[in-house]
Amino acid sequence: MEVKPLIFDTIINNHSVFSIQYSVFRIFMNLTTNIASLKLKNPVMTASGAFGYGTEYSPLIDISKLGAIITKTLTLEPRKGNPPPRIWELPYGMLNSIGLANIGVREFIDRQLEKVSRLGTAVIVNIAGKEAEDYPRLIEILDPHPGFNAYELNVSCPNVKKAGMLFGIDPEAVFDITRACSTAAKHPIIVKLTPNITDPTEVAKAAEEAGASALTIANTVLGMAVDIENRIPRLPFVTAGYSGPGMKPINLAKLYQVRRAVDIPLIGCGGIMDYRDALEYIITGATSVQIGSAVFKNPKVLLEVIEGIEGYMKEKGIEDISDLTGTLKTGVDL
Amino acid sequence: MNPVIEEAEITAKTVLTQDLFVFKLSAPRISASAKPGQFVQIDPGEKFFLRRPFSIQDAYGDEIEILIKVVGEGTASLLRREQPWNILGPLGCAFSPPYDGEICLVGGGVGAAPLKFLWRYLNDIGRSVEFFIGARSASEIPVDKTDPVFSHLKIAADDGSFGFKGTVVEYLKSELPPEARPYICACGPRPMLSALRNLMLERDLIGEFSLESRMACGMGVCQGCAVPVDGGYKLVCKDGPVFPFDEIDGRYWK
Ligand SMILES: Cc1cc2nc3c(=O)[nH]c(=O)nc-3n(C[C@H](O)[C@H](O)[C@H](O)COP(=O)(O)OP(=O)(O)OC[C@H]3O[C@@H](n4cnc5c(N)ncnc54)[C@H](O)[C@@H]3O)c2cc1C
Ligand SMILES: Cc1cc2nc3c(=O)[nH]c(=O)nc-3n(C[C@H](O)[C@H](O)[C@H](O)COP(=O)(O)O)c2cc1C
Ligand code: FES
Repeated sequence: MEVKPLIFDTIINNHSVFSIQYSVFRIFMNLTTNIASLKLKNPVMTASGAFGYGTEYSPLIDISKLGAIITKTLTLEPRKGNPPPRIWELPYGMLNSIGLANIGVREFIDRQLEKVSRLGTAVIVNIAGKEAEDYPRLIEILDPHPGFNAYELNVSCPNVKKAGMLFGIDPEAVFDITRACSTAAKHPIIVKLTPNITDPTEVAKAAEEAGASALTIANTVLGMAVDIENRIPRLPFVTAGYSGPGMKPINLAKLYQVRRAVDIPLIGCGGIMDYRDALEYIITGATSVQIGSAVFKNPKVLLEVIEGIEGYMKEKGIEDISDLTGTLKTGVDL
Repeated sequence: MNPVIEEAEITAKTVLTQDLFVFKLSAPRISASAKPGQFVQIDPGEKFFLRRPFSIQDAYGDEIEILIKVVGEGTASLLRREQPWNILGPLGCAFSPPYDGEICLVGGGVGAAPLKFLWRYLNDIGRSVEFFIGARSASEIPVDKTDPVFSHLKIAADDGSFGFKGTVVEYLKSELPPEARPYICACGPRPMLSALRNLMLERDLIGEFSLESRMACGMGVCQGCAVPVDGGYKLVCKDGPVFPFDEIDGRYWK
């Protein structure tokens, strides 16, 4: 435990008399966490697709304070994305049908990577392929370039026919893609799973066996909404990805299921709105978390969650976040 | 574009009609850099997952002005919301009329908001501007009658209860000499812009339209606010909301 002396804080109380706060020593909490060789300064990351290519939010928050940033999914060729409208707001979240619109891996390398690498935090590049072979191909293109620290494989997007969930529900496909990537890449591989599968443990085990360093649980839940006046779907491709607090219980349960099946670190994702939501994932067994669509309304949520976790640890006398991970008391013999 | 988040106090509220309000808000950092055509994203309250976009209808000193029409639950909740309001902005690109020649502003309903800012800006630098506004009826005119711009407006009311009887595009057409080539800056509902687009193509006019789209981030991050352009999509929040009128392709106008 690290203990650092603090200068006496002086505050003026109600009666305008100086009083001295007796917090001479502040205990520093250890929030660091590892994903294989990658050390994160704290467990809070941005989720893919909710933070652009990394720099867009720099006028609004101090990005260097984050555990890591994860880029929008990159594909071999630029993608235009799905026809609008692409989003529909719900009382407890939103539906999106973006269709992996992105600038493509080469433009990312040429125009974004250097800027992102200077933000002072770990950078995780999220990739997806139309074909299974696209994944190792993307790694081959990215790997020689400095400026990032890990890959996240998106095998779980609900909004594209191929490149999408089809891979993520098939343990064999996940095994092959992960194996091809983990043998080719010099950085750790994170595999982002889909929650749209009753039992995610087979897919999770396949990814672990194939060399994944961590799993993100999970992508959006398949959802839809209907305009009852016109009897048409709210979004043109009918089904879409549901994110936000309404789907948190679903992804949390998936994380709980997977926790019992694999040993590699898990990253909780889905519906995190504040530090309490993040702690639910951590207590259930995540070593870190990702925050996605909550950032749209409140870009500061990322920093608030870090502070909130720290405050909780202080209050409970927990010095190291690893002493919190997976401490769920179920009362049931597992 | 360097957006900030400000906690803004309401310094004045004017009721124009039962569902149309002008708010003056103290937001010094947004006001300092706001340009005509840009917008802000306002948090409508805890119950809502996303912010709501509104055009900046003027900016001076420490204040910005917003015109709000209540159309659904988010806007209704915003009006009941306690101060301060949490505001993100300024966002998007501004109008960019040419340095000389005539300029004509054409607004429909709440689409008048960004044009009012543009009118004041152009008027202040001594440019010759005509400002057409359309409303369904006299009671729905989206501009405060005590505002200095009011006496300069050319107003069309669909039901003839004020000014020209008919749509704002019909009014513009009736006033536009065949040889006139004003630069058009417009904002309004899609059918109005579509009719204006046809007139502009017919008369060989050029100009810019400010468009609307559902938005999540407002920052060019989520790709949610796409509109179709030749060969792909552009983002209303980042590439727009102001676009060259002929850039948006036919799929949008259908
Ligand atoms: C760039 C821009 C500038 C705007 N400027 C103004 C303005 O100055 N004054 C004003 O009154 N209104 C303006 N609007 C429209 C305003 O944002 C919507 O009326 C408002 O979001 C409706 O919210 P609601 O919850 O009351 O409606 P609901 O219909 O209940 O909203 C449901 C969802 O649809 C979205 N939505 C509904 N209507 C629109 C719309 N027309 N455009 C975009 N999203 C919409 C909402 O944001 C929300 O996510 C602007 C929109 C854009 C994109
Ligand atoms: C607008 C939007 C775009 C997204 N794009 C991607 C993407 O490109 N790649 C990906 O792996 N996940 C993408 N996601 C999923 C998020 O990364 C995240 O898994 C999901 O939204 C659940 O987290 P949340 O509830 O915190 O948003 C996207 C989500 C949203 C809302
Ligand atoms: S609203 Fe997110 S990109 Fe425009």
